[in-house]
Amino acid sequence: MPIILLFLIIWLIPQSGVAQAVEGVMLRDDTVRATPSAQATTLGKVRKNARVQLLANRGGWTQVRLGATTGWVRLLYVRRGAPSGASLSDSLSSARDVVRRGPDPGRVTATAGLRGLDAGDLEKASFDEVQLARLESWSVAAPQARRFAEEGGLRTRALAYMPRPVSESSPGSGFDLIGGAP
Amino acid sequence: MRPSGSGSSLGWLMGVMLCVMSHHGFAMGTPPAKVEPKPTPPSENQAPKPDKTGNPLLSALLAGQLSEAQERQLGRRIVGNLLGAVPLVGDDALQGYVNRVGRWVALQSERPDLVWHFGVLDSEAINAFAAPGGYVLITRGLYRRLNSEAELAGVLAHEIAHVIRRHHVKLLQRSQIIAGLGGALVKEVGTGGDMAQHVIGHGAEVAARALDKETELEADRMALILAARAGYDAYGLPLVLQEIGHFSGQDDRVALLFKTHPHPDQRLQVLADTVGERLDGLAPGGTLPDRLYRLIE
Repeated sequence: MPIILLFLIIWLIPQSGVAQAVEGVMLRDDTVRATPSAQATTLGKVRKNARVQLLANRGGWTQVRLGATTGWVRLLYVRRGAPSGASLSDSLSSARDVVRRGPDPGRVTATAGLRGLDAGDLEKASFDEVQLARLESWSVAAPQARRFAEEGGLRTRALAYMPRPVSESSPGSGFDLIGGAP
Repeated sequence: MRPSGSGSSLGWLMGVMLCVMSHHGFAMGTPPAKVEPKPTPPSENQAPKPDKTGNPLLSALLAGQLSEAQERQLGRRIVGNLLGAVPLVGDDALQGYVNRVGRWVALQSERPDLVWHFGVLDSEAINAFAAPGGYVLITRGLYRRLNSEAELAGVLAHEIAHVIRRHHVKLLQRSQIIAGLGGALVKEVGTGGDMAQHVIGHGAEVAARALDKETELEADRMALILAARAGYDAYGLPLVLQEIGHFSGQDDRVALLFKTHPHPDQRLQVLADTVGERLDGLAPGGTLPDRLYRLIE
């Protein structure tokens, strides 16, 4: 049985947008559907913070397995990794630590770019005309971009921007918007 | 031991870094003389403005009347300084590829005719930037974690949104004043106009912080649409955010990003609120994982 399961997972890898079967967690309640469509047959419900296995992505849908059930949930309702509570507080406290302690000198290699920007190395950096000229030399003209899109089978679609949602802060997130742009 | 093998991150942080960049390059401790060391050449498509600061660019910025040429001038200055700290990856094929994807997405925006420039920075930090006038940069650290061209398009679309909405120009107008880029300067400008005084009177720092979050969220929701207009899968950006969300803030490459931005989980939550069922009728777009240019390691 485990062998069959393993085979199934391996078989799924090349077909999916997810590189490998990974742990995920639901960010909110959702309906599990048989196919990636809002009109699909409902297989059941999955609760916020439920751990699921992520199998594939298609458009706005992610295929998940939980227990014996495999089905599709909304992509924006799930993410990789551990439940958000731990991860969020972990990130926030560690960010504070970084500010308090300053960057870890032992990890300079991995973070040179980011640290440099934050540490004010940017101020010391001199304006680099040569690099800027390189950057500007790569500019692509519109017809070239259109040809590139055509080669990739990309076809434009007319879509309006989405309005700002009514409730932009999520409960318990500590994320509160004050004013801001329209 | 490869730094990229840590399994950390993804991140991305897009845009706000621009804020950091802007602060360092323009506001914090940088005297006005250094910001604009040379007389600004007259911009091509606008009449000279009254120059109360002795600096036409700064004057126009503070007055909120940057021409497109001045916007580009501002962007060049920011990006030129950034490139002095972090150079570009020396792979022309990669850079050309990123420019084709970026330009195609930018063509779907309200400013298709800007002279857009895209580049990959030689840094393991996980980040992306935009600067006024059509400059968009992504780090190698972020690029190497992308799984498809649609994800690249989503990340670039977020930055493109910052440019077309002039988020950084607006931020700079504010940060110039926060830093008091000289109270004298503000005084000079403020004698005739009440703009500077008006902004100061609103508690610039709080407003700027709130604006940071809102501009990020606005760029997020625009990015889905820009990518979809270009024919890509609309969900490239959220997939990158998903990936970032579970990385530990202990990872130096994302720690500062997490500090200065809404957490990716929150951004996903807001996107979920934004999208709802709106895109249910949208046919799946292209993801093009095989066309994604692979870095030469």
